[in-house]
Amino acid sequence: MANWRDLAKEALLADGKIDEREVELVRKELFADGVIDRSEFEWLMEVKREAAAAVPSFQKLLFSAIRNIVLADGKISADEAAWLRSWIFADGKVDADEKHWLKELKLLADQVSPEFMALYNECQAS
Amino acid sequence: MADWRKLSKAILLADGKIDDREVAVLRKRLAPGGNLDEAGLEYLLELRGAAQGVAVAFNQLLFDGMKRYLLADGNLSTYKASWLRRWLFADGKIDFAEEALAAGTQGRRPPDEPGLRGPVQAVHGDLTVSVSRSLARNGNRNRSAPAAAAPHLLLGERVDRPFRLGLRLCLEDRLGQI
Repeated sequence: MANWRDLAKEALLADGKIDEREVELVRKELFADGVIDRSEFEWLMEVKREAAAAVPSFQKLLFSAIRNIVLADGKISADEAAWLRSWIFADGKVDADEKHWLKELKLLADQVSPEFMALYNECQAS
Repeated sequence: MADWRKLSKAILLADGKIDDREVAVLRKRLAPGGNLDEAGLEYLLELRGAAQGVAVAFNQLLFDGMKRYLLADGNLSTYKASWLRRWLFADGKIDFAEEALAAGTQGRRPPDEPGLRGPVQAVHGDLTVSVSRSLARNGNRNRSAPAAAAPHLLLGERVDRPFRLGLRLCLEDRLGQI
């Protein structure tokens, strides 16, 4: 049986780049039900890591996905902080987009856990 | 949960065409080792139907996959004959590649196996009418050349043999024209 998830990822990365048209297709499908789940976000992160280049709207889409998941109840729990940490440090470094996401999350959250603050401080200092 | 199949199809068809890089992805993901299953074939057939254009390599992948799938055990089963019929008439018309397939399978003796007789006769009947009309419309009678060139090969005793030969002729004819 075909692995449609991997096929979608490799089709998106066939030319190494993610353009505006592709971002719209992905947005339409992943946000079709109004919410995005962790497995869909993980697919987006895999795409981000493997793409040679992506238009800025792809980064916006990623942040929308993170916000949708992490701020569903307005709070960033220890579990959510650990999940964010696993993705941010998966490639061993913290990039500018990830620092920006953390800042935005901190501003938008009603309440953050000490674990999130530890992650935030660690990333901003790196 | 995302419909990954639907998303992959939309991505592949974003520019209306299936290029060589995309065919390489399809080959890797759907036909590891060269074998396509029914789900993979139906996906490729849907892509072919929706695309404005496909690379030569796409047709090679599709027709090789169909040949292997349909004749995997040396016989064309009732189920596979029906499956082939459904695909051939999915868009309500017979295109050039399908004409070649039909030309290679016309005039065949019906199968001895009762379970196969109906579906295969139906396929032959529909194809014969459709191809005759299509050839008349195009004013081109040479499209049936594969069948005429090797009539002794097309009168096998068993249903699987004519179909196998028909498919082979279809593929050779089709690939030779690209």
